[in-house]
Amino acid sequence: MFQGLQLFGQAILSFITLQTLFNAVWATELGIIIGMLPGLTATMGVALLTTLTYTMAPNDAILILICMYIGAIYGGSRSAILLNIPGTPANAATTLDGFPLAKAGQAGKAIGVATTGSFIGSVIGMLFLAVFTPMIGSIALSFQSFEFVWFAIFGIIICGNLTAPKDPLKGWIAGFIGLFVAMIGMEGIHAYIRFSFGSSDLSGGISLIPAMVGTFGFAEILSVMRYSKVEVVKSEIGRIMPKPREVGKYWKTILRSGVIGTFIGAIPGVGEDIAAWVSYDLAKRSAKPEERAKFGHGSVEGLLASETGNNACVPGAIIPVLTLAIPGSAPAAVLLGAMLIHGVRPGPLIMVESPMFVYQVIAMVLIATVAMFVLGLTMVRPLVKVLQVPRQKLMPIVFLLCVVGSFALQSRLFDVYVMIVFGVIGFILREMEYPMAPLVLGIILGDILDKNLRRALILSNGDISPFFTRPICLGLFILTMLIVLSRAKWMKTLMGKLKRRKAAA
Amino acid sequence: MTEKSMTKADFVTSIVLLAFGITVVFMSVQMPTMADANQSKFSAPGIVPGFIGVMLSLLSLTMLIRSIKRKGMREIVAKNATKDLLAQETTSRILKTLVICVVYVLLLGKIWFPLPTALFIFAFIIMFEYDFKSALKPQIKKIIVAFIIAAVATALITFVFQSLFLVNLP
Repeated sequence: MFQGLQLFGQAILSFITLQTLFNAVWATELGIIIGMLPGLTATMGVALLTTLTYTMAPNDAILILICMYIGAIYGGSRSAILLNIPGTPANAATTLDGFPLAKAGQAGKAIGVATTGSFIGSVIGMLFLAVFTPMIGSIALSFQSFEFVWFAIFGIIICGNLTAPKDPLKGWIAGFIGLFVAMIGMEGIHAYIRFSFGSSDLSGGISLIPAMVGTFGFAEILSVMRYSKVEVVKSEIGRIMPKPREVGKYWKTILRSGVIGTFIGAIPGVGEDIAAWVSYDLAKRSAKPEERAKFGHGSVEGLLASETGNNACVPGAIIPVLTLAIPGSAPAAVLLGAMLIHGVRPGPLIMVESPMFVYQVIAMVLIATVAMFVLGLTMVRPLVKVLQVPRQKLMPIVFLLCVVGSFALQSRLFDVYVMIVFGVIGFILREMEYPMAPLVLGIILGDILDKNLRRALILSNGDISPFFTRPICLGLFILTMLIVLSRAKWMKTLMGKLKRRKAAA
Repeated sequence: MTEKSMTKADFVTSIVLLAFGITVVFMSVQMPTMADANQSKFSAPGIVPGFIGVMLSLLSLTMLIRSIKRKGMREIVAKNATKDLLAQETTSRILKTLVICVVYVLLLGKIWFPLPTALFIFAFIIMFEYDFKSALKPQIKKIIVAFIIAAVATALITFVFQSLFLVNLP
């Protein structure tokens, strides 16, 4: 415990240099701007910066990425409040109460409350990150291939289930398509080339970053360009700094949202958008009746719940990245990819091999959170101008960034084509309500599933019983089955209700 | 998407996915087992893709059955739907964006990077801002602004990426 504190202190001290602080400030501010702009998400911001920073030292690069991540998730609240358009999917719940507040002439207060909520949420998430990473890391040391196989399958099932609440089947299909994408190219045990159809480009496999830039960048450009106008709301921005009492009286909601946000973040692939919705929903349910009536019409409590939830999710999503090398959200997936590019190998061994790195990440989260808080409360008015740039002038430049971002890592045009193809596929799938998060998670988990399933089978000589008898395996198996069965039953009762309703009509 | 068109879309995609899943299984079975190379047959490269193929087939089959139950295939007869979709302004905007982006990417690597880049930004802005039916004169400002944005953005991107971030450009 004390050793942890000491390492954390060392990590913080090592980051207090002019250059690091400068990097933190510009990356966070850029993150806020990217988060604010509808069509530019946190995932894309982190993916683009990954390629731009890969010539930097690992610590500098990862600090910049974490600042971008935290800044973007927070920045999305700006456009949610001022335009009624969530800047990133994570801020969808913020529009419900943020926009009515802005319409009532309290835009400044709403921004202040959102900033405070995001800050506290991030801090709560960071505390969990600090406490749970070493703990889960030491448990994860006993995991073998059998457990990792279940983690991969469980990840896909729970992610598909939670990101496609209307139709989990589509979430699961998206997840398995992602797993398949990971199968393309040379496999890791015999170097046998799968599904390349003789193409030397395909035999190298599909890289994560171009695929992500496509599904989260280019697909987003296509859907943003569909409509011509943005309705910019002229709203007076008054006092921004909220009074402590305004926020303090909702301490229960803040605490609850922080814990829920972190927990949801830690679930593989389930990210900030779900965290915000769940904490908003729970806040609404447990609010006092007179406060509950205000939800959806400009409730400070609702705004706090959603913004605390989504920012608490960020450190939460980093927990499984560090301990299991499984991303907790889509931006965290890119972060994981970036760590691998920089030669850091997250996973169960990280607390043994490089415990310092874990504490450095916690320190980075702290720096990014503080930067977000300070920048969030200052420079509000000039930044609002960015929202007024018409989309047909902004999107071609965003597309250029997508192209350069996918090209830069390996300097091959094939990656740019991958970006385009994934953008189109992503756009079509999203139109048909397939969630993108399981797809991305699948691309990462595919490799884990492939190596571990075969290793496990070799170890047990083809016997599949260890998959069901080892305690953690059994637990994950039961959980997976419960999720699938609960959805099947849910479908049945819904169908039954519909039939009854039809019969009654 | 409306619920009806969604059921129809599900019907079509589930058939495509089912065919895809079965193809994946088929290809996985044909992969060598590596047993003749004195390796454990459980390390065969086809095991995991085969499993994924089976799961994809099962899931898409479930969706197919569900959309048949919801009468997705009857909707397919309505041919006008495709025409209506193409006639919508939103669809044409999406297609325009897609075409100009793809053309730009295909030009990359063949010509010096800043040239197609500036042209792309200029064409993109003009395509969505310029009213081709109106006279040129009152719109001359739009063209100048688009030209300036294209020139400045291209210069900035080329400089920042090449000189500051030390990144290769196509």
